[in-house]
Amino acid sequence: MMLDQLDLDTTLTALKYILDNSREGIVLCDKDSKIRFVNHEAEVLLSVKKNEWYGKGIATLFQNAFDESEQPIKDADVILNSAISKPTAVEKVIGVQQNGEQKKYWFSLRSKKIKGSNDEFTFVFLARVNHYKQQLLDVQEELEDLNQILSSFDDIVLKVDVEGYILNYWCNDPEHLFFPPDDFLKKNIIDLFPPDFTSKILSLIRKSIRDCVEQEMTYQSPFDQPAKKWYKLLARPIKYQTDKVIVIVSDITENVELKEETLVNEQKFHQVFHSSGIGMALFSLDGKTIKLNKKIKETLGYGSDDLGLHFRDFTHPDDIQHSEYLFESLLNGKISSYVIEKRYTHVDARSIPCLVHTCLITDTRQKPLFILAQVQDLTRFKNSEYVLNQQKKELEAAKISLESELNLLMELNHIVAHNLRAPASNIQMLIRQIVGETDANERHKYLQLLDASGNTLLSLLDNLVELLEIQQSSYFPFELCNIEIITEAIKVKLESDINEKSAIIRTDFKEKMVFFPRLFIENIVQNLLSNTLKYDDPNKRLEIHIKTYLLDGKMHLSIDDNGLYTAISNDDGELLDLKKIFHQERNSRPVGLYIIRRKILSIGGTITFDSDPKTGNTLTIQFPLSTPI
Amino acid sequence: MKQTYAIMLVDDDPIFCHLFTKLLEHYPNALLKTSVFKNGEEALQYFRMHQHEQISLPDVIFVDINMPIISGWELMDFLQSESMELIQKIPIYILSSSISLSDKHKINDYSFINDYLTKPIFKKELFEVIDKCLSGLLPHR
Repeated sequence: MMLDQLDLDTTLTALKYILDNSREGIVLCDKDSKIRFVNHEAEVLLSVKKNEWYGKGIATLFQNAFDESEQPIKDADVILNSAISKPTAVEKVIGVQQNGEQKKYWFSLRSKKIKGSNDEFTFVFLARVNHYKQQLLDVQEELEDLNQILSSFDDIVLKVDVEGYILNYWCNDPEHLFFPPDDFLKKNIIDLFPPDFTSKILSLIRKSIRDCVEQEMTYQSPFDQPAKKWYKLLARPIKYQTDKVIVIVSDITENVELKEETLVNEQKFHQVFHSSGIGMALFSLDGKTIKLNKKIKETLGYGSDDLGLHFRDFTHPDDIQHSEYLFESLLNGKISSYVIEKRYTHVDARSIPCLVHTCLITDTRQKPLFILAQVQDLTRFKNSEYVLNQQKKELEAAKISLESELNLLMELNHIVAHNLRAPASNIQMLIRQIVGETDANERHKYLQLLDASGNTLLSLLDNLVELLEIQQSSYFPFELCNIEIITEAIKVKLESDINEKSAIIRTDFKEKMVFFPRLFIENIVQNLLSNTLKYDDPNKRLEIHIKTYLLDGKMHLSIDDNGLYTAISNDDGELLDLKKIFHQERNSRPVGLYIIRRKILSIGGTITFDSDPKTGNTLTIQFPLSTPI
Repeated sequence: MKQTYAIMLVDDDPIFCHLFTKLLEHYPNALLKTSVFKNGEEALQYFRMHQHEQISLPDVIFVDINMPIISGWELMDFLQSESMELIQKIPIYILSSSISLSDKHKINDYSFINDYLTKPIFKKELFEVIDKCLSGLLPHR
């Protein structure tokens, strides 16, 4: 049965049923916007009782209302009335705080004016849209976040299709764009950029679309302005869109320049490292070589084939401990660098003295990267230093020698001024006495004293001449002498004295060769032997023991005798006091000792003399082992 | 009757000592008794023992320089350091064969030394010195 065939009452009943049971809230207003009907759903949604609202304005249902942007609606009457008075359907979203609650209830209002034969009225359809409103708010928030994220990038983001048309763009700063947006939006990149450049970009975009894989290229701006910047272009596929990509253009000029600067710096370091006039070596933090320059090869013989060697491997064994300590101190941060003299072991096993400056190389965050050692060969310097030291020693020796000569001259001057004058003055006084003496016996005594004084004077002169001759022997060259042969020759020379004293001479030459001036060694042996023979003990048979031996690597000569005790000590002040010794000319053994001692000391040897009233005398000479300067 | 005076000679040269003694035997103005000490040590021992016995001390002292054990200068040092009273009372002469200027100038280090005499010394010079000493004028430095 058609609706038109129903009677009015049935129709109204059916209509009322439909309105009351609709799942949408429905409010019916008359032409004055007064509420005439509120269905059950509207009652629930608006928490009203429909009878209480009949005849009231529609706006009274929406007290404490808010618009979509959550701003309070002050003139709800005007807005709603104007909305529902429009002939066309009006749709609006409105928020309401009901019953004093803080929570907002959001409604979608849709109004439709209906014209009857006699009257006109408006349907207002209500739907609760809190869920959608919340989704909208979430989307808005996300959008806001995205905008904020985008605004933090300096990149240019373009949406480009497979043909190369630029569909959209995002850019935080319009200054970064090549063109004003209107000039490139919906335009093809072919029309914007030079052909060589665009062909590469198009190829990249199409490859990204085809393979669904991100593609990347780096390029320099095809334009002169802004000045030749560098960019990275990233073509990124868009999910579910098979003909478009997102193109991200990033300014990487700073990175490129930094990279170039780094490369230049690396190149500089490389050139400085390899062209350096001093040896340079890079060590890892565990002490192994990672780079050696040419000078290191020249100095120590190690090159690229030897990388990986630990510094211990070519440090002199005696310097390893100290080097390791300093290396550890660098790593521990106790010191930042150090300079030491150390010895390295050359590939050919030679020891090379070097000056080494070592420092820790770190990154910009002070994290240790490696150790750099700069090695300066000190061989020539050390050799020069050695030569200088030798020359210094020679000069010092020459100075000592000259001082010694000067002292001797002063002493000789004193001897002449005093010791020789004593017997001479005696002679003069004796002559006066003899001349004035009348008694024959006294004259005879004076003559005897005159003879003694003459002998004393002569003996002193002999000693003086001997001293000067031996002093002169310092100019004789050093040579290898056979002391046994020399001793035998002296024994032959002194044979008559030896026989006269019935002296027993024993020899024990464990070492026969001595490096010394021959004349002087002959003089020493003769002087010692003749003195011993001259000052024998009349109560004993003279026994002499001559021996040579090595002690502490040095040649020693000793002569023992059981002759007269000589109260001379080893004290330098006594054995070297020539004035005192010459004054003791009546026992001239010390004169000989003085002469020998002076000579031995002047060439780096030592001499000791022990005299004991019971056991006799022992004189020991220690010769210098090496050639004296 | 001639008055007797004691002369001390400190010298290790026996020939000179003999000659010196012989010379003083001929001194005309007094009788001189010469005591010889062979080195400075002997003289020092004597002084230490007899410094307070006026009768045992000599009237004039002659000292050689170069002697074994204790030299003439070392003897002077001892006398000075031990502040012996005798050095203020008795004339002291250095009598040496040394003609070294350093020796001659060294007497200036000892205010109590009267003079430096050089060997050989002969009768005239020696007697003049003795005269001076015995005339009572000395010691006046």
